Amino acid sequence: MLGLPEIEPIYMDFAATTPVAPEVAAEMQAALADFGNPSSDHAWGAAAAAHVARAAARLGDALGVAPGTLVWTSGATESDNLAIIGAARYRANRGRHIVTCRTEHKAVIDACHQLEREGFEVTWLTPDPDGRVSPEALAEALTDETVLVSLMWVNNELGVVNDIAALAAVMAAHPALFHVDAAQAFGKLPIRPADHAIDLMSVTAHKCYGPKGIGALYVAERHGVQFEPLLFGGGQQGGRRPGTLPVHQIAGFGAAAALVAQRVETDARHLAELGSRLTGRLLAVPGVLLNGSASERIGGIVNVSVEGVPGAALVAAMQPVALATGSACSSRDAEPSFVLRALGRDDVLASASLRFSLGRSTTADEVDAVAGRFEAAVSRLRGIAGDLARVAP
Amino acid sequence: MKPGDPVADLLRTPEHAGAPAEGAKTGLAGSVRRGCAVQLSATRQGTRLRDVRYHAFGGPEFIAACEYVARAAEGAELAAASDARAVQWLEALDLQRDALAALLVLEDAWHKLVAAHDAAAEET
Repeated sequence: MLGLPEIEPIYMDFAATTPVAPEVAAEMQAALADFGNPSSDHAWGAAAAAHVARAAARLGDALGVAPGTLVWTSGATESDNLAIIGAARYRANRGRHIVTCRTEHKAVIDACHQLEREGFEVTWLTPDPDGRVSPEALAEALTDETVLVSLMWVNNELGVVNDIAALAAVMAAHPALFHVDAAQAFGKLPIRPADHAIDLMSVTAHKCYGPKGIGALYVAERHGVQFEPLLFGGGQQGGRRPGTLPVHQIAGFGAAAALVAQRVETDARHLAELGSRLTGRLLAVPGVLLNGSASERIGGIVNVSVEGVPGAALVAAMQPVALATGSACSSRDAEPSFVLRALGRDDVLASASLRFSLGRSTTADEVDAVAGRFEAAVSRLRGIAGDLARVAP
Repeated sequence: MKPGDPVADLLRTPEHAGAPAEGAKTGLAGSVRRGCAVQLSATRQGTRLRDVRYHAFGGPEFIAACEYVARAAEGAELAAASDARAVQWLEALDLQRDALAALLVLEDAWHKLVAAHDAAAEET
């Protein structure tokens, strides 16, 4: 590509999804053998139900919450929808105002847009230039009509970490429910929703070496933390999210959560070390800008904008390195990243952005190879562009 | 992009990317701010175009199209050059129709280059 040397494929898109850990696959295989319906009142059902109970215990242990506070869903998108739409509808007689942020995941943004169509008013907070929501901005946005606030723990595109403790402290003094999308935080940070005034929290398995298609919603055991279901029929999970439970997926999530509980500190150190190594190499290239806070971030996600280089061509030139431009969930969109635009980047810089996301298996050699490819690709594309930025701005 | 894909093949060695040769005429179109810009350049030797080069800012398909046009133009008769059209390049490179907007920028630059050579020929 572009006369650049051939390199081996390297996966650096762990924020989009992670491989299934071998321990997880083994647990899922075992659960598939126990084919009974976990709701059935016989031995086959009991065997399946045991897998579900063990998984709930493991996920509860990893989050520091009781297993009974967890509702299984199909993933973080459903968890977000259930929390936001379900809670807002349940509380609509108390008020019809929601607060969220412009840089949330689309699952939150589009759920809020749905509520707008249903007559709710949504306040869209703008993050500070570092990509974080300030507690002061949150406090200013709250009104007597506010029934729900939804903010993410870790931004999926930037890796920036919100000060959830400070935001939760603001929420503790207000009757509105506080929902946190922790899809990118779980497995990368030690997160304990019960330590904060978090009422609802979304997590998913496939971002932490579990299978796709399974997530959970934490629902605090507090008076008033309720939501209307989005699905009906069957009565499973107390009717909050009915449907026959996907036992092997749940078992896989449980196994992934057990690994998180064992490894989260080790993984966080590994990612911080390699993320720092990668960031240093990338920012040494002139005209490369780090997107989001330099300090309040997880180690595994590095997002940069590159001056004087077209984004789509840069992604092509980086092949066969697997990475993302903008949010991985919408990598095929031609539009500049809405997250980077919210941070104040212009369209050219928002388009010319790359998200590198590292994982457990990432090595220092891989980081060095990717950094080398980046340096060569930027140099080549700037050569091809010549001085067009000056003569054809 | 896969091997055999015309875009991938063109991007493998964009040999015509580079600064204008000495004495070359140029055609400039597009805007970096809008995500797509190109400067085509070429000298003329008798009735033929030589030293065809380009600077390009845009997506991989756009850079590939610039390379395609430059390769086709190298040594081509100037008189035939004005017939070149974006829709032909779209078909030749098997691109989606949404690439047409960028190719029209390239077509604009191409016609400016041809016009610059035509004007120079009239002066002489």
